[in-house]
Amino acid sequence: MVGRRRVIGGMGLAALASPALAQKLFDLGLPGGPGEREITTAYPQKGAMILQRARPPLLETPMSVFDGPDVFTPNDRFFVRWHWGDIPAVINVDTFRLAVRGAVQTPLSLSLADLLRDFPRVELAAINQCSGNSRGLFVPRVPGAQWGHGAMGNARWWGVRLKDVLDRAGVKPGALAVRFDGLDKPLVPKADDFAKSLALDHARDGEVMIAYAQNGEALPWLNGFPLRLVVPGWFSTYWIKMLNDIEVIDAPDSNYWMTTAYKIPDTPLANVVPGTTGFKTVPISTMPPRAWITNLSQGAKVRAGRAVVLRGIAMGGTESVARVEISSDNGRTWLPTTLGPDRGRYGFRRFDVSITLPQGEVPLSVRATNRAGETQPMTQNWNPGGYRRAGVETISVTAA
Amino acid sequence: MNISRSASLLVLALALSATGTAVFAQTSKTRGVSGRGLTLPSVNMTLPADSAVFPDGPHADTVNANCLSCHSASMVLYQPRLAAADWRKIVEKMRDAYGAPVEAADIPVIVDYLATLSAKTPAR
Repeated sequence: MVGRRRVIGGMGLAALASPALAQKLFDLGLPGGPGEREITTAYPQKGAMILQRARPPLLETPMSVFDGPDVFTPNDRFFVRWHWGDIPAVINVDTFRLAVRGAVQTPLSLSLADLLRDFPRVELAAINQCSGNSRGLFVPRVPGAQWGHGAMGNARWWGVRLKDVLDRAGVKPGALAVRFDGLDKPLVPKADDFAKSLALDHARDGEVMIAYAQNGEALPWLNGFPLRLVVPGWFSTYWIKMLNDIEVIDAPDSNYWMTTAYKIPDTPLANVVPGTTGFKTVPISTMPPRAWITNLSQGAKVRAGRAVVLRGIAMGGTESVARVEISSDNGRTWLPTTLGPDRGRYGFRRFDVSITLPQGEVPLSVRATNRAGETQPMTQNWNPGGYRRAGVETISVTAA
Repeated sequence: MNISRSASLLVLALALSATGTAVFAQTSKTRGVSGRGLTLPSVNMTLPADSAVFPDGPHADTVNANCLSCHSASMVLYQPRLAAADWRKIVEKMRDAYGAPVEAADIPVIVDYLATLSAKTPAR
């Protein structure tokens, strides 16, 4: 694999990319760069995706996909993120089993047929967003996967309530949390397998679900076929893919992925001043409201002095979107937008507005507020992990 | 958790199979597990190969040998400009938290290569 030498772009070396690839480069516009990425169609069950990393795959959804008209992200454009390189290529649906074990009265070994036929089916629309979505836009820049805004997607999930499965096993008194593990494994022996846990009450809230379908079809392999945990309103790190093991635990989870990784400052908006050290951290959890303009991108040219339509998507995080507003003066004044149909409190909601812009370079900012009154600050939050970006997104367009 | 949250869940139950969504109906060609109008077929997938290596330079071979067994070069090459001290922290994290079998003697060499390459990226 390493023997066939091909040098890719990045670190100022984009010029070294082969001419064939150069036609398919996409610029994420990351401050300071490198922001150019290859567009790939080489991944199974996936259409054109921004290639962040081939192994283990990190595939980003281009923003144009979110320009609608639907609020749901097509499965073949849904972003992909894996931590470890050992991802089973073959999954036999007849022999696959989901174990439910640990502090339970009756350990279970559930087949896919059991899950499809023996539990009530529930449907939920929910956004799956990477904790580090938009990390590449943090200033000052931080290390990690250098995503633009496309490490997110919205889908209709079908599956069973985690609560129903836990009730069938019978959680023992004294249990504290539930740990979830998937089929993927590290390529090296001395590393913690990727697993995440939820507090028992959260796991039994009746909303957390074990999904077997995404937008009415089997989950794409790279999105966690055949089962994925869905944790509405929470970041994707908890949405364990290829879920095959559920362990009820009676002591705090000591796994690296809960105790060290995916930790954010225990401050409002997970915000700290760059360079700060010694702050208390907590595991990342809920998503904040966010919004994006999807029909115009940075540097777009529009007509001045006549109505221009702006449209995009918004999310409320843990509550429905209550309103989305646009500002063309860096947040001094805000114009209300018209919201599209509500397709679920945890999903995207479309908005559009007609606006007349003066001649010149104009900043267009978009701000979402949820039903709980949670809104987006004009100044971006910052933390060294590049997690939970929450501020208003602004693009600059030229009106002429 | 609360009533409104539970109410927002739509229980489809048998209604789906009653509507007979043909798209998901099991055919003789489709092997898989079916229930209530949904079929989950077995999968056998292949990931595309990634032949990319690190740009040539002093100790590029050491970097290729230590880093590419777990992840693509792009993960490194797409990072913003980082100082040598930052690269050292990252390399040590790969060894200590992610189990990369990096020899102690290779660490300064890898850090030097990465810091030199990284210096070509504009600061921000």
